[in-house]
Amino acid sequence: MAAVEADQKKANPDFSAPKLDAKATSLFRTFVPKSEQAVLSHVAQHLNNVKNTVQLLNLMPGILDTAYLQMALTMPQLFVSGQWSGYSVALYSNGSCTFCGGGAPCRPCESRLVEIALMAQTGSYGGLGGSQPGPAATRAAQILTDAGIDPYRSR
Amino acid sequence: MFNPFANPSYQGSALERLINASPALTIQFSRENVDKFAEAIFKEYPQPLDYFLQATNQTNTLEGKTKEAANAAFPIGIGTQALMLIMSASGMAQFYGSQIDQLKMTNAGAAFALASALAEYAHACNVPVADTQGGYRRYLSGYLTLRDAMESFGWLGP
Repeated sequence: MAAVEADQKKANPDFSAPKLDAKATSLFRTFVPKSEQAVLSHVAQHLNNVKNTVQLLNLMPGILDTAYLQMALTMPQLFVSGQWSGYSVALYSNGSCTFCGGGAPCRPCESRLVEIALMAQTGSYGGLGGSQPGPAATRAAQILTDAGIDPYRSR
Repeated sequence: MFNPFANPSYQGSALERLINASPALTIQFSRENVDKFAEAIFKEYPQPLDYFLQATNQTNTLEGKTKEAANAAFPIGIGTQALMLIMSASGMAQFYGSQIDQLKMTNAGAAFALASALAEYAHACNVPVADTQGGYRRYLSGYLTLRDAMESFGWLGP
């Protein structure tokens, strides 16, 4: 990722990407609310797993990682692992679609979630050619189920 | 039909909307928020300096009222610094997000990893400022999530 900064520096030698301060981080980490420590560790582990998976996917460039990126950009809620207290990703919130902000019911987003959930069933998002559902597909199926929609109704 | 292989763009994406609508963007650097942050630390860790020194295997050589004063001032210092970083992190998230479209051209996998980290950050910060005790709850964890990810991905500078 440092390549991005290097690219920018070609046009502007003084360019410097904003950096997140390193010095105080360990101090702050000591004082994270106790109720959030486990979630924070879980999220860090999850993102580390994502990085490792990406490194493997880079051995098969082009298709899978682009597909994942498309999903992460259009439905980022499917890629979160943090189970923060008092918050879970639901299909609808206050009468609006969580994913596009449209009114409920939102058939396009429901259809997308069903497709993503079904892709896991067929192995397309099984992770490196396996047959286990990927985390995004699992989450899509769970969100639909929580909303009272059977993700596999069309099978 | 949803085409998972369509050319994705961060510009105008749901992720961009999520980042730009993050409640963490609205927190203000104010004495009130610093005080709330410090009070929240006090509630969680009643002797914050002692706790920190113990956690880092250091010895507190202060005694009596000096020690009390140090314990009282310590969380205010933490709150001041943390609040500034929390505020800058929301700007960082916008900056990193803006790099996704460029990054995907050379490394779509890295762009996906970055998008995942930003989604986690936005998710952690998806709580109104009023419910965060000056940013201590959720926003501090959001900042650490973003920072850890950027460090893991090799984005942080020396």
